[in-house]
Amino acid sequence: MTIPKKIGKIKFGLISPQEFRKMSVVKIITADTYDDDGFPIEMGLMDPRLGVIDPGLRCRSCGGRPGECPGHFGHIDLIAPVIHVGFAKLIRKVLRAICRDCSRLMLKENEKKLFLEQIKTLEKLGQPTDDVVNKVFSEARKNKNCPYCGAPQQEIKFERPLSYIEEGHKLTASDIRDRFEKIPDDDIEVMGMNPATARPEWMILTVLPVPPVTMRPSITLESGQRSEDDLTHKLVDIIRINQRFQENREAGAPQLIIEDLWELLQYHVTTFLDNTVSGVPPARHRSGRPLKTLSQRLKGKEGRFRGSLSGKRVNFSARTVISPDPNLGIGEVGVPMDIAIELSTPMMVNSRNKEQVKTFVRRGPDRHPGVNYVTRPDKRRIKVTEKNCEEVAEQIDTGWQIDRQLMDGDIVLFNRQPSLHRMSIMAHRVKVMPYKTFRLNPAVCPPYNADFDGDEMNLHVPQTEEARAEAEILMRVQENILSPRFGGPIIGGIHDYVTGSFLLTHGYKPIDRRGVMELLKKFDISELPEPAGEANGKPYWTGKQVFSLILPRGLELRFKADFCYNCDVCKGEDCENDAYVVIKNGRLLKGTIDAEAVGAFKGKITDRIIKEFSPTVASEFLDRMTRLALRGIMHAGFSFGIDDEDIPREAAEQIDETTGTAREKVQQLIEAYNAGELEPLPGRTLDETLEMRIMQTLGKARDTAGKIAGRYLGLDNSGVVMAVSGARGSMLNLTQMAACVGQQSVRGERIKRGYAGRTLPHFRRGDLGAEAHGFVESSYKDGLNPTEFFFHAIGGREGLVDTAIRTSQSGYLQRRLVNALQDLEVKYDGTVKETRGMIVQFQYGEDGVDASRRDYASADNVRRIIRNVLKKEEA
Amino acid sequence: MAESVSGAARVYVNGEIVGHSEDPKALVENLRRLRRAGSISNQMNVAYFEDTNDIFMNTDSGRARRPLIVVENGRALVTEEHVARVARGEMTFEDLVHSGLIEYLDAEEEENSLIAIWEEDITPEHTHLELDPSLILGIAAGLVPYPEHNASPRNTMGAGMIKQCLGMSMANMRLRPDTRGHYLNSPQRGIVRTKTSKSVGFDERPAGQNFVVAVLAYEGYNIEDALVMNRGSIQRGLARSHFFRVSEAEERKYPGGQEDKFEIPDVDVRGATGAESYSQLDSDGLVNPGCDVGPTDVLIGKTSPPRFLEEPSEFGITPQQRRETSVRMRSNEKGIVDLVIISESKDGNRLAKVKTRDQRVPELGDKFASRHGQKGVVGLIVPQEDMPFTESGIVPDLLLNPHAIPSRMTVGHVLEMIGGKVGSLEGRFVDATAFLGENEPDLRSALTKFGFSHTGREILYNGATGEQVMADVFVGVILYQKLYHMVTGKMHARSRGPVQVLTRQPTEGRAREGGLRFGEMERDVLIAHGAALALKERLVDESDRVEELVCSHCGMIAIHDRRRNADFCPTCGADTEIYKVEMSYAFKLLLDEIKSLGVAPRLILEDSV
Ligand SMILES: [Mg+2]
Ligand SMILES: [Zn+2]
Ligand SMILES: [Zn+2]
Ligand SMILES: [Zn+2]
Ligand SMILES: [Zn+2]
Repeated sequence: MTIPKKIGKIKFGLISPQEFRKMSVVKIITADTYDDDGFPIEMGLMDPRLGVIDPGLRCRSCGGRPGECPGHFGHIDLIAPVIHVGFAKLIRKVLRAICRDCSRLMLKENEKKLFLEQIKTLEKLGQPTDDVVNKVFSEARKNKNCPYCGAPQQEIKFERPLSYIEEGHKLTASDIRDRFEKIPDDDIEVMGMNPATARPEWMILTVLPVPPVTMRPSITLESGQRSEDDLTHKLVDIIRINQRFQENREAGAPQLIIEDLWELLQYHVTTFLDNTVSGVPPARHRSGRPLKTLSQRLKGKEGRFRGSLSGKRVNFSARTVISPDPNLGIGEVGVPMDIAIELSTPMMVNSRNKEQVKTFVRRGPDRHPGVNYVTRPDKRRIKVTEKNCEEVAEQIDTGWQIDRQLMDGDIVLFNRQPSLHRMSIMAHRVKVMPYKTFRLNPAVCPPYNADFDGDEMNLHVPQTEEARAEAEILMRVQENILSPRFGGPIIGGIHDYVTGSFLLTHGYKPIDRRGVMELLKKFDISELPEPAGEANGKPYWTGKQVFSLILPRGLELRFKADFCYNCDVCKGEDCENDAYVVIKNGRLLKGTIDAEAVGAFKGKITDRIIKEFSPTVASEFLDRMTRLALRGIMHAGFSFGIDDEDIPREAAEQIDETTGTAREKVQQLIEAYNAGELEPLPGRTLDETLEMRIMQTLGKARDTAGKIAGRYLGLDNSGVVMAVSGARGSMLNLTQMAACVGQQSVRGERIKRGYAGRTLPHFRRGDLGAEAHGFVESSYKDGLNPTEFFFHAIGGREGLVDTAIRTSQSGYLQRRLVNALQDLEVKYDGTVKETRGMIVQFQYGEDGVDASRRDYASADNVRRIIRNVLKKEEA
Repeated sequence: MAESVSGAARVYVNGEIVGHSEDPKALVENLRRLRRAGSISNQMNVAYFEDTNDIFMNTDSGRARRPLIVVENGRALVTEEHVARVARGEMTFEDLVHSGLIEYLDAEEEENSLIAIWEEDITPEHTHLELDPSLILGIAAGLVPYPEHNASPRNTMGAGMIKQCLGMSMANMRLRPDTRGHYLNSPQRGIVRTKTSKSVGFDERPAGQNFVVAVLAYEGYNIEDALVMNRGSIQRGLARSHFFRVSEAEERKYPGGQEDKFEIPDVDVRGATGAESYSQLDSDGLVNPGCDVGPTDVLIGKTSPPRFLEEPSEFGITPQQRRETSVRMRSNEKGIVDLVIISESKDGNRLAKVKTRDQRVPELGDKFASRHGQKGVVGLIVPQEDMPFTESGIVPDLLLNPHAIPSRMTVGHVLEMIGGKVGSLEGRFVDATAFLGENEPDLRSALTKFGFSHTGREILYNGATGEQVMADVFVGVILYQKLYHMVTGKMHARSRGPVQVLTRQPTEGRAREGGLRFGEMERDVLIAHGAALALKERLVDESDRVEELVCSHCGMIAIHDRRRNADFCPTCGADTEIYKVEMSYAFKLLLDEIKSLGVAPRLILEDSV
């Protein structure tokens, strides 16, 4: 055996007519494809020597069956040379740079030598030669007479798409080819081309390659009719014209007809190569659809590069709806049995696992976990069936390989599209489950940006040991808790988890033994801490004590909770709102656990545990936290009803008063404006000033209404609990539901458009008042009136449109960024280099810091390190 | 013609200037009077623009116009009396239009109007009165109850999802041979409903069912919009539906006198599978109604004449066999044969249609939605005995997570729950038409009449422990809709399977056992993780990996001649070094395509180890 080879580089060149002919297995002369019996016609476009696609047939060139035969090129001898559209610009440059008589590059020998040296140096350095080559062309063009034969030169005009005009005459492709043929090899090198691989005259085609049938397979329709590929259609056109051209020329047809046919041949060859050349009408199918010819196959989203090489459809993949299962660990994924049976992972049979493998095989394909296929050492794959499984199991020996069905503990890649960041694909451990949904712990919803309103997710099963290793070491969920985007945990509590933790840990409510047992029923905790106290002769504990049980020992932490009221002077540990969290040696002493402590995107505790312990400890903590929080929310019970939007009558009256005064104030502003007494703000017109003042007044009114409502809504209101704990919604949402929806806007301004001088025919012209321009005084609970509803719909629609626009724009921006950055690599010496080895940064990010390893992008950890060191010295 | 007259208004008819008017206001008023009197067509609209001094008269087609009640001297012309007469059928809406009490305005004439929304708001300045402000909503949005209590994006979503829900869309469903269709087993009218639902016939062909819903966080299985459902309710038939599909085949005739035939394919028919796969077929080749059919089971046994193209063996061309072309169940569907129809196609061929039905019992992953844009999939189905229950023993059908409400501000959803509760207690429907619906205070006080709290909250007991749930739980009745996005139609897995001819990559789509796309963005993710070999495995090994021969001399694809068992390069011949190189077939295809473009992509090989 020779050393196995891989593709190192690709070198592009042109193909000479000689090579085309050598490559070709058949010269195509007839435009017909199949005869009446359905057999391909020899020397036709479907000649059996071009390869096979029909099952059951063998290739006449290589004897291969479909799938084995790589396909073979044929060729068409063009009656007259034709310009290759792709090189139209280069042909023009060369044409202008060479002498019209002797075809030599019109530069003096010493100039040529100089340029050639420059080109050679650049090539050696692996840098683009375009600039020098362009200089060669522009310098050569400046000469009015040939430095060699002295022949005077003529201006060559180029006309789209493919005309070269000299002295008012159009140069034919033959003329150009003749000139190019005479260019000496040395001159070609100065023009930046390699005469061995790319002679200029090859840009004028005299032989057209006929792609093999594997490249243009025909499809048999249900009715038994064949439908040919677009390329075949185009080749038919070319051959037909080529034939007609030949007949006419042989018959001595008038020059005019010959020229027309030549043009037509040029047209067909041009559209065969590229059907979107500007100035050339695209060739169309009979139905009027433009044909998809060669360059269309490569370009764009569905093209070869982006559609079939950068991304492609793959085996061992599955997709279904997702649903929550909080009893799974964050690193697990529930896989439906039906999917687990279809998907498999290969197992190599060795002396140690042989017996185990045999038991798998004996189960057959229908009893999970069974085996779908076995592969013999000679690579033959045998399908395991209910019937043959016993027999196959007997044959199994070392060196065989089995496709074992997916089972608990297998590692898989789990993905939700759009894959915007690397946490969009993470490795999970399989847990085979009944029913038909993929199940995941809701704590991993944030990185995937998933919810359960019908989202679907994809799953890929790695098939090689290497891929499995990479998945396990680099891609596991626990390795991705910290986001490189903001350096904090992206996985953490949401909704019930946050509310549950909050309800459990807020205050010092006594929980009796039974309650504590209920809370801890899912944990293997055998000892309870000292009771916090006794009531009615019975010991009780607090939620804080219970929560402490899931914190790792040795954890030290203090921070302000999410629901901290941001008092003017923070009393720290003595905060009377229980909003200052103090954790000492893994004991929650003070404060309330909310989004700031365990939530996704915030999660101070999670973050600290990863950094001070390990990702594994953190992932275990998250598993325990989610479980305990659910016990917490189930223990307390949590609902949301209409009374959560109720505000007392006095509050409603105050709000009415606020909006009333605001309306009056707006009226006063308008009066002042009409009377010309309004002072314009600096840099604003009077109209703008009025608008701004009105917006300000109304905005303030809504805020005041919100504050009034907020004063009457306490922690007995579940809306408030969700808002302050950071679980869901905000106080603004509650304000809008209970007090006042507020000003609706389009592009940040009050609503103005509609009818002449007014927004709706229900208002008087010129009415500048609040309600005529989209101020919604009602709350959602009171219900909007018809005009308010209409303005609200306008504002809401703007939001929906904005989101739609933003996603498409940011998607494109991301693609451009990724394409620009994908090749950069941090090398072992710490530098960032691109593929050619050029240094982009001497140190990654110019500070060498991995964003996901530092504290919320701050240098705060210095202080902590000092504290830790001092503490150790004390001890 | 029209000379410019200073101070006179220009008069345009359908955009063309026709003359001038000295007294534009009087002209416009006259025209309107004549229109209301029926002297000129009521399709004429006229508007006078004071600022530009133009009169626009429009009579052409394609203008959007809307009806309004005419107001004269601060009084609406249509009175309660008229309304009553129309209701009694003594008068029609058209009569009101013809007698000038209601008129249609186009956008231009609306500019001249001042419209009152409510009758009591009419002032002497007003020219028109709205018929009903809820008419600003169309069919779908009009079906949303209490839309004026919702944030507007949720109304948009609610209206969108009404179009996706299962119901009883037609009464002759059992006879129709539609290619596919869904049918909700026992649809109900919403207890809380709008006037629109009556107008559009939604009450006769309803969709959705009234669920008893409790807003309660339950064991984390309804986080992020998931829903917890009561198994007892499901077993009682809640949200059950049927899916119908019709498969068809035709006995096609071919040139040369050959034709397809419905029959049980013989063993010697090419591609015929074992006899057991045709066991459910009758002697005419068609399945019998009532048969249970699973994936890829044969529905219509059919054979077709042989294809022409066949490989000649050493003994010349083999005798040509008929081919098996039976119509089978789709690879991922099952059901019961419901109906078999034999008919004739438009070409006069025999045509068979087989309709299968599949019962869809709600399961994990099925999607449900209220009419307020609150959608979610079933996350857990709880045995009735484990569900929380109320004092009176009512067990909710559905548990909705409280976190679904505040940030979306769908107060309408909450109100509908109360409305539904009142409606079911009083045994009536509750009107929730936009702006006119029964209001919140009334509904809440109605609850107290039946001994319920006005808040809609109730004491609930934990079904598992029997203990009272500490917090009172909001319980109500609300119309939930089963949407046609069901897991059964979505779950898909592929290990290996069919590939496309051109690219040799896995096919696309669930129906074709296709592979999922590992797209550019997914590739980016693996690059970001640094998982190089996982990426290579996905993109090469598990998609379109091939080994091609490459000539190291010219860098082009070489060929293995199977007949001579020798490798050669088409250009360099046999006298060159040829290596097997691993690549993606799409890349090999790309090389061919580049060559076809007249460009040589020469591969330069390196040692791979
Ligand atoms: Mg979603
Ligand atoms: Zn071949
Ligand atoms: Zn010369
Ligand atoms: Zn504080
Ligand atoms: Zn070669």
